[in-house]
Amino acid sequence: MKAPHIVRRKIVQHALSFVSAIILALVIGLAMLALDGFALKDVINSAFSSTFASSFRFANMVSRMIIIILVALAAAIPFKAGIWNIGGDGQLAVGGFLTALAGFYIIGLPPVFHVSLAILAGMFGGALWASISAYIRLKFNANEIVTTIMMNYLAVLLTGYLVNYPFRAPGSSNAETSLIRESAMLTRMLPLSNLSSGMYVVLAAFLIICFIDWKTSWGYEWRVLGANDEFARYGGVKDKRMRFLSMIIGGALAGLAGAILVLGVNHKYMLGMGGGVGFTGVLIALIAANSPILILIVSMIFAILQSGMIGLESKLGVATEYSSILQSVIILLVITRSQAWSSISNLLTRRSLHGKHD
Amino acid sequence: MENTIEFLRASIRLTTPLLMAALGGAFMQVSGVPNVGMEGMMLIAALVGYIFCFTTGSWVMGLFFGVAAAVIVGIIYAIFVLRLKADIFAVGITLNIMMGGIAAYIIRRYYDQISILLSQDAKLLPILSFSFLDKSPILNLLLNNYSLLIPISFLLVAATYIVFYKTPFGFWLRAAGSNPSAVSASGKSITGIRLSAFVISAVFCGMAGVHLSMGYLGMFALSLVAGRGFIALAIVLFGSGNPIIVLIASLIFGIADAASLRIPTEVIPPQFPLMLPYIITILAIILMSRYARSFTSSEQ
Repeated sequence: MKAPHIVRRKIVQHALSFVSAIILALVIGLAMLALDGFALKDVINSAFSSTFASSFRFANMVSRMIIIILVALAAAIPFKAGIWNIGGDGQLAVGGFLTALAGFYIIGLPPVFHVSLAILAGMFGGALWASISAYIRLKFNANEIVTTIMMNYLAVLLTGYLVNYPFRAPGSSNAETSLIRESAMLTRMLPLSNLSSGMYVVLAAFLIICFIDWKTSWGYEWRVLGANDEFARYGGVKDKRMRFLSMIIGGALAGLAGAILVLGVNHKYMLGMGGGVGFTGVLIALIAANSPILILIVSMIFAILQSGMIGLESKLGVATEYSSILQSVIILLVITRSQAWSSISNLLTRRSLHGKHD
Repeated sequence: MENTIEFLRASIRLTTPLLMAALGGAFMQVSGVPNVGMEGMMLIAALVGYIFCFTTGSWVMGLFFGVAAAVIVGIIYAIFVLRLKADIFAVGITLNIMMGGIAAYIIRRYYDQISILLSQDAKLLPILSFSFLDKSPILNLLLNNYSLLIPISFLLVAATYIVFYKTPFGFWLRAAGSNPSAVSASGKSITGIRLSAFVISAVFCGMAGVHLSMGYLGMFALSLVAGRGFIALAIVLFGSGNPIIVLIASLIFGIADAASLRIPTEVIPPQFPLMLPYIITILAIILMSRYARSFTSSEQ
């Protein structure tokens, strides 16, 4: 079946404007660094080498990417259903903490079961934390942007208390839990790298989300809810239940991200281990919530950007947070691209009309 | 006695950043555009203000450029929302994240610091002392000798009230929020009214940010705003932009903030008192929604 001409043109236009927005953002980002006195050659070299120069670095980039995919989905699924989830960081923290407990206190299980249980604990923690904001929103209609952000601060303080007092690793000078048991650790795909067999878990989660999105009524109902909730209710969609569900699934995915960080990377829960990645997820959801494939692509771009920043940090002393400036610029350009695109094409057609008149 | 006075003073000091930001937020809220970018506006103003106050050695320059930085953010925010018709929540959240990145970049690049900036040369906001308050010892202890923006923030409550309810500008501002089509029909530009709300809101948030670095803390830290922009948003939503309710809510938060810093850590681990403002925010926003719901249903 061939798509009608007009639809194909729309898709091409969509993709073109998307790509040009990203390229423009990169150019702006490089230009700002150049204006600030960095040699572009050094910037590009160090960014490139910290991402692609060795399989070790590439593996770390992929490990970053799988976490970003999870937090992006965590924000995107509720977003699609018309409810904000800015609370990915808090859900990741609570999930990661519960995973670390399950990894340490459960003893004597074969690795497969131990890892599964610990992952489930993390997903449960994330879902639980998200459910609080979801409940408050759906029961009292309270703004979930505010509550999910408040829940982030509360998660940091609560897990901060737990790892400083009752669950602090004996003898440790840092706020962190004890190392998890060997049976709960995910296998590293490459010695010493951050990439673990957790990547298969993320792949599975991603495919399940794709399936839900494309093949089940849930995916359809979320889309309708996000687009027009009056219409959705009229069509028999149980709006509150579906929104609650979308938030729970989002929270579980953020919790899964925490679990993978604990089981595959740090082997313990450390305060602030997510490094604010939840907000990266929110940014991605803003422009890619409608399509899991787009989430995959943007997550990859952002993971490459962030990996590149590690090179800039170590070689040139640029703060890694520079990547969040670049990411924000990309988002702003992408969300306004249809406006910008139409005014540019208006300008062009006007000019060509003028040309004919002359 | 002394403890009580010090506690009340701390409450007033901590009320100001929220009050200032929330009053600014109210200007946008009543004109129909919630300000989700307050966190970023406060952060960038706190940083730029602090940098100027120690490089120029003048708090006036710090205040001016700090507020100017916030206004630039406000104008960018307005362009995206009003001109390019982007979603106000999406742009606000993105700008907050961007300001966090810019602040981290600047202190790392120019001062080689990772999270805080502290200078001996910082010329902080002046402490105001009024001689007429000297006569009563209690009033003097309680109300005198505050950093410049603290008394100003309370005066701004009255100013905001007068602007909202006693001036033509306030009338149009509120009309833009409650009945935009009527405003358009009468020939006024909604965009123009809302643009001015963005700018005023940014000025207020800028002062709130400057107060945090140049008045309250005496230094800059990346974590210094700590969600206050969103707490202020909750306060604005709570009072639907009414400056009197904004004042009351901000005072409650200021007291909670001050209390959270004064509970001795030997008694309760410090994390729990620090949770207080965030928990109160959630409770307040629940309460507001219940009230709002009963209000709208009684109207029908």
